[in-house]
Amino acid sequence: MKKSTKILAACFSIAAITAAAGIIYLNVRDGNGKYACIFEDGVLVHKIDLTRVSKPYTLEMDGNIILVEKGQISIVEADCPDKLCIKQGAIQDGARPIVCLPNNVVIKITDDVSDVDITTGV
Amino acid sequence: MKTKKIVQLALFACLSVCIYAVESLIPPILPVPGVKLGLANVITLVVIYVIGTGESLLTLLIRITITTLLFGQVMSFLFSMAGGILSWIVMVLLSKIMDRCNIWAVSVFGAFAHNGGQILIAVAVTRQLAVAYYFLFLVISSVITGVFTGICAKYCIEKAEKIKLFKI
Repeated sequence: MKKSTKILAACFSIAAITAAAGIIYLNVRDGNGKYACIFEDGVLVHKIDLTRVSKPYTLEMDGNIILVEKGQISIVEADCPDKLCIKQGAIQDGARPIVCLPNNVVIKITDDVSDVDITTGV
Repeated sequence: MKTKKIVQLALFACLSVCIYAVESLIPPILPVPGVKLGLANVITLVVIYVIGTGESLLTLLIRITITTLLFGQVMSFLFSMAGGILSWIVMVLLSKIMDRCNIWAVSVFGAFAHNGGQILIAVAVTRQLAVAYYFLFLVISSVITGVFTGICAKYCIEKAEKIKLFKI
């Protein structure tokens, strides 16, 4: 094995380990947001206070059905072929967003109190 | 363009469409948009090394257009184009400067560029920076799939260079 090969292999390993550490850090870090923001085509269409959801309900969007529960939110139905947004499961905190690229829907959780009263979705 | 060359490029484009079609049958392992093997990139690498730069861009563009028409959704054309062209630029530049034994690394950098381009488009389309979170997953998957497709490409290139038909 050449020296350049070894150096490249080391660099790639470091890159992968750094990325893995980043994922762990973002998930461990306490993202205690309570507002679920649903964006469609880059526009905020719903902002829901998840702590105040008394019983689960669904929101029907263009191509997705979103399940809102106390403390968590998930996509339960989608009209795209790969259904990746459903497999991404429910989110409870601000670590990761749910992304549905075919329908251009993003759901993320923040504790940002600004513009809360756009819609409660209830 | 000579007829022989047209036939040659059509063959490579056809091969990469077939590889893409077979690969699309594999269900996604991670629920992250963009994580896939990227075996069609083997053909891009082979054409870059064995035939030439311009020809590789042509086969890439033909592949993206045909696969989008056959299997794609409206959004996927933009993503494939951005990722494909960015990774093509990176791989062409690196193929000129990097040692022949490091084809696998060219492939990994190509995978980084491909996923980077896709994330940029995803951030632009959704207008949510939070989407970039998934780039971390894509970095890890790029290293693994890039090494795999790079090694595949290395053996293909070694064999393809011995075939007289490709020397036009």
